[in-house]
Amino acid sequence: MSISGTLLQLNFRHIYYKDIRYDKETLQAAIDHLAKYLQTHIHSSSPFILLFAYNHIKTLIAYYAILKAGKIVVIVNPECKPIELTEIIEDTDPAAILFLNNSTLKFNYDEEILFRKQNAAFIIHSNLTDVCTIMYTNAEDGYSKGAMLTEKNLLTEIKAIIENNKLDQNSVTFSLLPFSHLFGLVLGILITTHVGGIGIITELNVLKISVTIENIRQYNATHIYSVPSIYYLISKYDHAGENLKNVKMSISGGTKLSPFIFDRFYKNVRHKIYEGYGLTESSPACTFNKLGEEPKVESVGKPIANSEIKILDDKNNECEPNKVGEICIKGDLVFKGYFNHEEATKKTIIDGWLHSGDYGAKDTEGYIYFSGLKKNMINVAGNNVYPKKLERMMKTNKSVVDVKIYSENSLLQGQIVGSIIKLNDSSTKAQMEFKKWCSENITNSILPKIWLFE
Amino acid sequence: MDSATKVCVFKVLKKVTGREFDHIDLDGDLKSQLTLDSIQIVELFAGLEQEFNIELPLSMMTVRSGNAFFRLLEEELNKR
Repeated sequence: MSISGTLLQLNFRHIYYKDIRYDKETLQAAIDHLAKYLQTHIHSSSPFILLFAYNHIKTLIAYYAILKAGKIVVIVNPECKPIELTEIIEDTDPAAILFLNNSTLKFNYDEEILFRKQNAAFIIHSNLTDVCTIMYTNAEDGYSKGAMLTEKNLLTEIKAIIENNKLDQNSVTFSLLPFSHLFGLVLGILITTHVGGIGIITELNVLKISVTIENIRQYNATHIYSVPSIYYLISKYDHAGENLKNVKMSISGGTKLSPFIFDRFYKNVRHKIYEGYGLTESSPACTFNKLGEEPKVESVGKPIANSEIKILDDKNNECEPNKVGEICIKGDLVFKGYFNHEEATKKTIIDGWLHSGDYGAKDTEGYIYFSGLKKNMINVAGNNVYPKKLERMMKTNKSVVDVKIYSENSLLQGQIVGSIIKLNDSSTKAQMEFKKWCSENITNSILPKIWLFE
Repeated sequence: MDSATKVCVFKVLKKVTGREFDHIDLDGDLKSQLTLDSIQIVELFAGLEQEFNIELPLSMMTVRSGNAFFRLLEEELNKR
């Protein structure tokens, strides 16, 4: 299957959101209208527009409208709270922010878009040619950096996934992954609008599993993209296999799938779950188990899009097959670099090889096995939590004397975040107030599940 | 619930919440007593199923009373 030359050349039959059918002409008109509105109302020369990426039809429209207006989309987690949002605004000095009201289907431009009135003195050091999307990630040093994805990165990813997953105009894609994660954005928006078929936009909600299964059946979904916890719940549902009878491929993302979930899903649903591997900096999926071939249990598949993958030891020598080292990636999926962070880019891309900060191995057949994190990061079902960043943000509260973030393994989420906190007041009231402050000021998805007060 | 089962349940609860448990008020509301969010409830189920090598019915996820939950758990354990 050939892919159009630009991201803006959309190809789909229709998209369903909340049981409403949107055809291509309707969505294209909405994209064009918003793009024109942005172009006529932007006064700043900043190349960036921030987009709060809810799993909503308006996010799809806004994403393409921003690109059509000639701007770069900076994806913001819709749960993003003041501390993080302020840092992203200071870093990008955006021309506009699209907050998007996710409770209505229609746009209210006056309320949902905030324009910057004038230019601030702002120096951009990075070369932004071809950059179309920025996602904030890699906060190992305590500060998130904007990973610059080019149009070529994303078109390469789309083409590779369409080929690997055998998607065509008869495909019905059903993604439950969040648009604020690159894998969710690629599968839920980009693939949906470039494969020529039908797409369903929905939200991940473990409390509505019966609705999810009913939607899969109702729309005759052929490809479902979700996370281990949802596959576990589907496996528990009576007659799940019958409801998923048209599904050709079930893909799990976010975190490593445990053999327990893989086996349980296969036993009850008679489907094998496919896995891939990647990180935001590799656009994101750079390996995948291929549809039509038996997925290797515990393997994340082989490289896609002609990517090269090698495993390096601590001395940067290539490891023997099956030996664990750092996963390094080369090819068109490797991102351009971190916005305005040249040093961090140089440490991450060395001689064209993206150093993932992940441990893994490659077997003699070329299959890749992810085995853990080398970088100081906690992966909670695909949410990247950087201990240094979370500790730094918590310490902005004056009552904190010390805080230590750690991780615990989790069956469904990969890892969960734990915290040991010392406040200058050890009363229960002070602890409750601190937790409330955290939930009001720090993105909830990165907050600890375990709170231990000293 | 026998003491060996209790120890295993507390072990799974610690894994899910990071907190030590040595007692559960069976007359109380399980969800609020354990302060579990919806993902943690799913984690608890998966953890119990793996620990005891059983399959719990989906309907058990909505059971709130401690007494009812552990009675159903014992029924499933007795089926092994």
